[in-house]
Amino acid sequence: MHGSSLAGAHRGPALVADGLTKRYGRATWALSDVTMEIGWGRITALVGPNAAGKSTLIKTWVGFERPTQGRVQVGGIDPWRNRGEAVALTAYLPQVPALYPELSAAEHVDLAQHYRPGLDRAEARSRLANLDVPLDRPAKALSGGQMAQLGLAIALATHAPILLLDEPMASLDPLARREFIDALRDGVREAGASAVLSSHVVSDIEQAADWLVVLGVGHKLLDMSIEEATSQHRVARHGEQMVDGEKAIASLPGQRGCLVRTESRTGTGQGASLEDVVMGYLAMDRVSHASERALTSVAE
Amino acid sequence: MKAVVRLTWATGGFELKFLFAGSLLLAAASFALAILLNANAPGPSCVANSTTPNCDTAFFYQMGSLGSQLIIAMGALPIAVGGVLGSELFAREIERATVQLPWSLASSRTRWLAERVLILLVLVVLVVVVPAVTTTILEGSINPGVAATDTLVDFGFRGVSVVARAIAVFAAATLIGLTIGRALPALLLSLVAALIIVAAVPFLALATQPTEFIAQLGDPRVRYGLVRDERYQDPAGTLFTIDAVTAKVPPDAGDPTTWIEENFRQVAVGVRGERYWDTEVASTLMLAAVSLASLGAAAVLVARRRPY
Repeated sequence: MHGSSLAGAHRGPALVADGLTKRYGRATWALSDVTMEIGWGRITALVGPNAAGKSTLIKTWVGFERPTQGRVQVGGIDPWRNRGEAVALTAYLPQVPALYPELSAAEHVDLAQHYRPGLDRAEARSRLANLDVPLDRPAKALSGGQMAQLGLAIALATHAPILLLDEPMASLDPLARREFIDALRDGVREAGASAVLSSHVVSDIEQAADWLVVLGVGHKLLDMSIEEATSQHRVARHGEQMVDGEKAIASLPGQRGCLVRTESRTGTGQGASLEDVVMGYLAMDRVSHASERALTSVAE
Repeated sequence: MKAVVRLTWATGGFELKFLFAGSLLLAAASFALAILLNANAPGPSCVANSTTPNCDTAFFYQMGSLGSQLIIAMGALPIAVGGVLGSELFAREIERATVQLPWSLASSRTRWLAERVLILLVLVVLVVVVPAVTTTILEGSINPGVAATDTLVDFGFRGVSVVARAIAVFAAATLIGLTIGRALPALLLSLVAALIIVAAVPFLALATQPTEFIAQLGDPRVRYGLVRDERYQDPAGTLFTIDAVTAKVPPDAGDPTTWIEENFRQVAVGVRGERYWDTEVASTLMLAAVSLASLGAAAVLVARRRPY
């Protein structure tokens, strides 16, 4: 099933978070009133600092976390109310691949096929063989990159229309990252799937994704295509006069200047890189949090 | 299903090998001892009265005592088997977060649980069933002339009870393992729960049985049944407690103990050994209820639980 037909087969966007709030215990807010939609056929990068709630957001879509308030949907289905149908639409890869140390790669594929009968075992084995991942070696004897590739091979072989990848490249070396990104891009393109990929590393996102969602601490800061993100932002020198239709976002770290959002490709300063855009929004979030904290302490 | 069996063996292989080895060792020891006891069994007259001439029963009773210790040691097997296989394997899945793989792929977590439980239940039964049989044989050999199913001696440490206990402990440990999600604390708590189950259920099962015999100490009914209490019986057949009898001692009676022995006989009241099967059925039903309640709660829990 390919992207266009997937959109027709399921009502609405691939993934929805609507007023999503997630609180752990009484005082720890992981997500606060997050609303977003992720369309079909995209690889969406979910970027944010530590504790931004990226993993929590992904885990609520997988059905591992229950929203405190608001709702989430996967292909129009609430994963808490109808877990079976929602799970069938997704494949999930956590930061540390959920592998049994004692089982070999081939046995993991067999096990995955037992739980997801539609999984293409031959495809998974072939993908692993092409990447020189030993099929008969226990998972505990595989490298971090090979474990990530095993997790990805299983996820892709499910042919699930939605892939949810929670910082899967966090522990990979540059070569393994590159191989992972290539495998992900090819796999998603072949299947016409939608993927959400959370990451800290902007260069990975640039290579892998076509859509960008920046999460601040618990809330959404930016949600647009990567092409728009770079074309609609510029970096102005400090003190430079802005023109109409431009809005200052935040000062970039390291005296780089100020990130400015613009409606045209020309304007103040120079074109912004994806890293500038991400840094600018994260800096804005940090400043607004610092202000909130200052106001709270004054009020107290 | 083959993949799940492979997973079970891969993740619990060490524990399973250890438990199977222990089980076979105990079974072999009890079986060998039963053969030895049968070969040296005293005749019925010696059993009735060991002071009968030509009754050299010392070796038999020494080995019988060893056999009783072996049967009681067998009582630890269902606790170990159920506790380890139930709590540790499930808790470890959550502790290592490996359960994320099946839970993110399977359309039903209940089915995931049912499959894992079914395989482990088969293994639990396989580990305990042979010793359960051999301890029953051994019990028969320790008490020649009395069927093992006609005595409540060592009730709960042999026969069907051993299997039912192992299953109940396994079910409770599964619930504890899934609830706590940490292997060592889950194992320790499961062992505590197992001890409670193992102590409480036979007590309750025996409590359901009627008090049927009144017999003097040394009577076979006392030896093979369950003594509930000791009483004093007057010649008319009325039973008294020690306090009631002591209150009846006249002030001029001299030595109260002698007066009591002259006017009353000490008897035991209790459950007949022939109530073995009734008690076994009651015990098994209670253990089945514990098993079903625990596994039902585990099914509800996995539907709502985080996999880490």
